[in-house]
Amino acid sequence: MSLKRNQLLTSRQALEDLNLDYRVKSFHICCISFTFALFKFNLNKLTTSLDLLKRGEKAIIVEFTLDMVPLKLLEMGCLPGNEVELVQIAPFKDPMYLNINGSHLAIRKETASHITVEKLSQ
Amino acid sequence: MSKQLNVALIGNPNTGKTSVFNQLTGLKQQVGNYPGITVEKKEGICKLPRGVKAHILDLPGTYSLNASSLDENVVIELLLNKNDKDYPDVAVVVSDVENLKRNLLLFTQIKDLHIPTILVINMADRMKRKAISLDIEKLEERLETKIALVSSRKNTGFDKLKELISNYKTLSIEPCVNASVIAPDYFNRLRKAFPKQDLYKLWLVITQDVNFGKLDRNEMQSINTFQTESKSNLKRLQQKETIVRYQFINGVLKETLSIDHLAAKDLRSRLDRVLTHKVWGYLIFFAILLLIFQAIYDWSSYPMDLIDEAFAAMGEWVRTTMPAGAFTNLIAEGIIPGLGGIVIFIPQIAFLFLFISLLEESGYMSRVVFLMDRIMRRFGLSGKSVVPLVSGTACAIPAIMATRNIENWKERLITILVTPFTTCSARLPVYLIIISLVIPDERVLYIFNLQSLVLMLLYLIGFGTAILSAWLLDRILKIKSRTFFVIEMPNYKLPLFKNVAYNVIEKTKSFILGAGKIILAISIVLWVLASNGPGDQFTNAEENAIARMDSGAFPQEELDKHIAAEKLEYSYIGYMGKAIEPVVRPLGYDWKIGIAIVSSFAAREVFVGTLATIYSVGSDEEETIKNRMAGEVNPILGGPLFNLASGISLLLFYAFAMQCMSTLAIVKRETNTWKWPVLQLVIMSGFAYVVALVAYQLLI
Repeated sequence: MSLKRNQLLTSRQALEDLNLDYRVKSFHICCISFTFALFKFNLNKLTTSLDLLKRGEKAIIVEFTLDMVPLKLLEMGCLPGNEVELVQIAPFKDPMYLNINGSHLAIRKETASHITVEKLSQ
Repeated sequence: MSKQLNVALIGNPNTGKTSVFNQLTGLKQQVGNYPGITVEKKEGICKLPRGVKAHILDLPGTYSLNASSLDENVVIELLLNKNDKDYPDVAVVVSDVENLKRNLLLFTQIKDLHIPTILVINMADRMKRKAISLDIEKLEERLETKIALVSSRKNTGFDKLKELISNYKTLSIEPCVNASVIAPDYFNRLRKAFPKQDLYKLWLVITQDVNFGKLDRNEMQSINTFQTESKSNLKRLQQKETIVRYQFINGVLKETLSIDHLAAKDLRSRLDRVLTHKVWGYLIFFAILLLIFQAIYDWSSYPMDLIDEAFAAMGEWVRTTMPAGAFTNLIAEGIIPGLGGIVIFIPQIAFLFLFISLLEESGYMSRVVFLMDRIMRRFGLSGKSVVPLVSGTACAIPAIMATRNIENWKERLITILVTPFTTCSARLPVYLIIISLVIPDERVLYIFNLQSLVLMLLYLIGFGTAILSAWLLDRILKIKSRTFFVIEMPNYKLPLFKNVAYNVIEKTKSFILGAGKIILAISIVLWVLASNGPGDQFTNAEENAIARMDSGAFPQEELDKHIAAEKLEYSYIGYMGKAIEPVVRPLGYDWKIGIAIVSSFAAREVFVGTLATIYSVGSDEEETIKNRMAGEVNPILGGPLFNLASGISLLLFYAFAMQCMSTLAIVKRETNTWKWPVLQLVIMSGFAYVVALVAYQLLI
């Protein structure tokens, strides 16, 4: 993610540095907005619900619907900001075996769907 | 003698709390129940330095002081009630070095109650392998406590722990996180309203669900009126509390703990890859189930035969050596066969508990729950129902108690209701004797023994009915409850021999003592009823029998048999049996089987014992029960009483009928109403009657 942001900055810098003619400029603007769109698209894709993770993927917990997530799960470490890894999925993708912040536990897909996470790129 | 020191062992599940308890108390422990509830209470005595004795209480495992089950509630009730005789002078929080962060949550909560607290960090032997290093001194300072680094596997660190316990007075009782920071205004109002009370205690009383049991709140009664916050707001605050505590813990551990994560990747992931695999996982589980059944029904038959013979010999010995009389008869015909009927179960029960505790200790059971959850949910059950259904093959009572960790009430209720269908070990003697009477000992397809095939079929019928009725109940019962399901997947561990052995001994003991009392009482009552009778016909039974038969034409042996039969017919039990005969006749039974069925409503295993008692009254030949049963003649149709039709009918009746008072009592306790046990009794037994009736009428 950070890499892309750097690319973005450097390209904009480059654009300002080189005083190019209009056509070239507009081409560059096109490029930039395209990259930007890509970036935005990616951002949307990064935030997902926990039940959509694939085996071996890691993510950071963003938030969850408090009424749908048992307190016991919070006490076992399922709190915003903590890292979660999908260790194993049972057949029919349910339940899910997770490693949350060092705690190994299994929850049902239903509960997992109420937890929003931000995927970490591998 | 000075007052005994009260020590409470508290900790998350899977931290090795029980091993620490076993190391501290050795065999000086006893297991009972908390008054009024079926939660197990484990206590023991530990000798401390300088001659002090400590009373150690092993509290049920809990993740926090927010109770979500009856077991966890016990912990809170004790810690909130200073007047309880077990209220700890010092709390020992057991944690596992690999899950220190999560374990410390509970620790900080207990510290908040101003109880002197010692932190035990268990499994220290794993530290090197996992490349974990701890700054104990700094940790002690930050947590304001004393720490004992122990290893119950290697038996190290316990001297220091004992030393710390005996010096509990020097421990700080200052909290390390103050819960009031989550909502200062609210807590201030609380403090003003109840100036004498401990603030965190008040908070716990407010936030706990009170449905679990009677909490002796005394002067705190008025607190329920103080609930100025809505339920969801309270939960939000509880979440905030959890976050605040974790922030503190994270800060502390950052300074004191270091883990080399590369070294931590290990056995767990490799084993999990196989044991929770979508194909191998199931195959391994079924292989383990097969092994367990093999052990229970094959390996345990050797010690069982020995016990059987020993009791037969004992009865014979009493009969021949003690002076003849009513008392000798009571012992030889009532008590010894009755006791034998209990003791014979020891090998099976012990094997079953051995396997179950091995599976739980090693951490494998959680994987089974994980694998089975989705499948079981189709039938309205939970993955956690697997444990009760498997242990139900030994005895429904511990099985129903094992449903407690199912969070969803509907799933738990269904599990409780269907567990008695699984073939418990009490049905086994009934099955075995009837199968050997009515099913020919033949081979089918050259390899399978017909008798063992029938036995296996009965097990499948039991399990199938359990699953099917669960599915039906899932449709019928209209209970709305959320599907909360959280299960910890603990690390794999090599089971500790000491833990497994203690568990097996203690579980077997409590089963034998519990069931034993009922069986013993019933066999004495039966014997009395069978060897006494009202009126002249009983007292004159001997003369009548002799008169009816042409004496001299029959050998003495034959004559004795007829006298015994005559006596039994006119005894109290005979009259009772005759009274119920019309009900059991359509199923193909005579009044003796009727009596055995009625008496086995107390406990199924009584069936064989009853028949043994009924048939052994008055007979002094060394004849097996089986031969006597084979010799019984159907009074109406003639021919052997136990034929294919009546045998199958009996087998099916026992497969479905609810015949166990102890199970009904446990169901009442666990569901807190008579509604469910009564329904269980009526529906299961009614169904059993209908099935047995249909089977007999079709086969005859």
